[in-house]
Amino acid sequence: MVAGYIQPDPQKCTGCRICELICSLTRHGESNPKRSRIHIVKIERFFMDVPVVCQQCPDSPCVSECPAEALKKEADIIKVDEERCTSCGICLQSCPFGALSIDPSTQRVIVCDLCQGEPQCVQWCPTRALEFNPHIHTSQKESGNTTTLTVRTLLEKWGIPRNEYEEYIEKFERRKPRTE
Amino acid sequence: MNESYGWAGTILRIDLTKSQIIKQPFPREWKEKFLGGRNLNSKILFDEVPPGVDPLGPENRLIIGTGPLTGLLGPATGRFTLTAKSPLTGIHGDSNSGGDFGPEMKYAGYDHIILSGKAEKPIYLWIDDDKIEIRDASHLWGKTVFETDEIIKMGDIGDPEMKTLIIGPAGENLVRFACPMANLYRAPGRCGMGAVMGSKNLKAIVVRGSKSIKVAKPKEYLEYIKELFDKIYHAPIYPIWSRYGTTTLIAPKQQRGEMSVRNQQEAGWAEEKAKDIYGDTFLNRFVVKSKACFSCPVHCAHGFVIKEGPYAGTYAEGMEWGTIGCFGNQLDNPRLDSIGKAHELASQYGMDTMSTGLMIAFAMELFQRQILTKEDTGGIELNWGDHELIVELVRKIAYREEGIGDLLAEGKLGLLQRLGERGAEAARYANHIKGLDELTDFRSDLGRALNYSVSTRGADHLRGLPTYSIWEDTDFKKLFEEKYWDKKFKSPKATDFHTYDPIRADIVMFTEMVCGAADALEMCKFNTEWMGQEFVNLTTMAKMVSLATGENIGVERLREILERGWQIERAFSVREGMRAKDDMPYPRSFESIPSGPQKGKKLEREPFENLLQVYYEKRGWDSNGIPTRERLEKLGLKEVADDLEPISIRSRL
Repeated sequence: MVAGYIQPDPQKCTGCRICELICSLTRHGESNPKRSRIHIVKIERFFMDVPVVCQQCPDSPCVSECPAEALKKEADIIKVDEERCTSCGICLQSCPFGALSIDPSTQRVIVCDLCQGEPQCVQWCPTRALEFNPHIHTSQKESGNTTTLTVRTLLEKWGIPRNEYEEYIEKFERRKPRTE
Repeated sequence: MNESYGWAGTILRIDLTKSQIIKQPFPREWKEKFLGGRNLNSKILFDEVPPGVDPLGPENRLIIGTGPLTGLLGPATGRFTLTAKSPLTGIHGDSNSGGDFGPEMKYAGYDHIILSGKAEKPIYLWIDDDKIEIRDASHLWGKTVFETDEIIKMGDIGDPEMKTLIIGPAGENLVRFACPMANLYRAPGRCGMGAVMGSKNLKAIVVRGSKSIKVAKPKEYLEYIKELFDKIYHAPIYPIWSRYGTTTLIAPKQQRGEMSVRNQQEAGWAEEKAKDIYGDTFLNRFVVKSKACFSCPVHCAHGFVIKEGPYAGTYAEGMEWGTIGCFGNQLDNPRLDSIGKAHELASQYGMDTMSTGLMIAFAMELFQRQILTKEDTGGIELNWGDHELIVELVRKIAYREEGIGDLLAEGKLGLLQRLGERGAEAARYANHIKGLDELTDFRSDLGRALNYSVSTRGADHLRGLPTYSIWEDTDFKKLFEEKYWDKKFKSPKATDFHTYDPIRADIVMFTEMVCGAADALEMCKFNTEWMGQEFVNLTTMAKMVSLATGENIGVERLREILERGWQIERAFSVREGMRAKDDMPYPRSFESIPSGPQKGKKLEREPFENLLQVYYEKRGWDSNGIPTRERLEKLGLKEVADDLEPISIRSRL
């Protein structure tokens, strides 16, 4: 098993969602972004597209905080024990990237396992907004919500007036991940 | 319910008068005879909206259609079409959009949504998989598209990942070319579908879906899509299209002398003005990133930000050549920043940028000729190139501000009527066919002229423009299209744009078919042979549908399916009173181009009428442009033939 993580570049992401589609098609032979292990978070007013996918944190709060011991780390990959998972959503909340979700078909948690070292989303991405980085990620837990951090940096770079995006992002940050 | 592949399997009907919600299984016959998307929408409209109905009344339908590939991985397979009797043209109307709304509708489980009636007070629809709510929208009425989206996503429902289709003030105020917006910036722009929503008191449709779209042969489908994507990436057009999008067309338009200036009084612009709106200028000055529609590898769209000058603080997704041309050269306005502002406002208010710009162009020419006066405009001078005025007019139209705003909100046909006695003189400068307007001068390309004339929704390039002339005189032509058309049609006349030859009709019918196929599948035309990617053709599209749905659809069957849609769209408008005379282009087409590379070119009335007759015959229409019983019955459309029978008889008398 190859360790590493998928490194997203929101500047290059066009929001086409081909990654979501190839993920769900490869896994399940059907098309459903909500069954995908990668998600494109969009803030439409600012044409912002942020790929969100497991960053394989070394300290994996999702694993340590799971009350049912349904998540385990094997060879640097998070594994879900579907028998144990109660879909309580605690791992969704604990992930600093918001990278876990609940599969609407099985009602169990899903998370990226890097497709045996050949992530399909990386191969299919039209703009190389996703790259496979074969190194272990340093933890980003302390830096807060990483998605909105990236978003702020880009919006500033693009020159969108700060007063217009701050209010929106604050609301965006307060939203809760869906667990139902 | 049986397993459904490709299609979600359910048609959703909502009667807004009665607040009645009905779900019905997708009828097998509809799949087999019409496939989906625009093609099936047209059939539903014909069946359910009888002639003479007020487009802004409760009897009109608003039909939202996805296709069998919408929501699947594929070359931009994520579109949807809105269809209704058009309040702008009074005939068959529809408009198509990308973004995420169509796919989300499929994930919620619905292929088509048919809306009828009129809600008693402002409402919005909240579709959350099987759960459908009709919700009060009184707190949203009057709000812009952006405001409404934020209130619903952050407040009312609290999920920023839902997908919305929203009208702004223009739709509420029944501006006849208002449109709803998907993903805030994606516009099913043409034919006034936003006014139809407004007339039904329908502020927005909000969708969240969590169901899967199943693929009949997932492995083969995936392999085939991979093959197509590889070809798309290697197509000569890819590096250009994925970088510039349609803004790459602006410079060739200018060089070819097709750049309509001042409401098409001139074809060709001063070079120093033209270069200010070229694709390169746009990219270098304003663009901050590339944007794509759902499942599209080409990402032809952009996010742009204006940081300096009077329009600093403007930002939006866009702009297409259509927008830049209609607010730019048509108005003799080279200020790209003001065009960006007009575009941002049109998105907020929910208005077709093309018809808005072209309406202002029409008004400016009428003012120049003193047909419109300060009395009509409320004291405003409508001067060419006045960029501040142009931006201000977008707002005035959206809010139907008394005087000029209200007047221009009526569209060209409406304005001519409002002008009373002056209408006849004004009609000379009203560039439209059947009430819909277009920005490109077609006097130098008979294929384009014929396409605009017979297009079933009025003048429009997306209905099957023969794209061959776009690249003429550019180096780019050599890259991918050298003699392509000559080869395809086995005649050197194919690329002779000025010959009144029957081959013009063959080519137009071919491009109409390709565009129709893309619209029935609900994928983007830019990823087909319509735009230089000959490897995505009817055969390819039939194969994609077959692998996805498990239905064995060959290319011949696909052709027949598309032919049905085209005939029905024509039949709808014939039933509303449209005849051959309505196919004739507007008066300026028959006047010579005054200057530039195409100087002297014009349409000739008699040869053009003859060309129309050639087209009618090939389409199976009589000399008055009415589909014949023989052709309709051959396609299994006896009920349509029966409907047209009294009209055909009267027309022969």
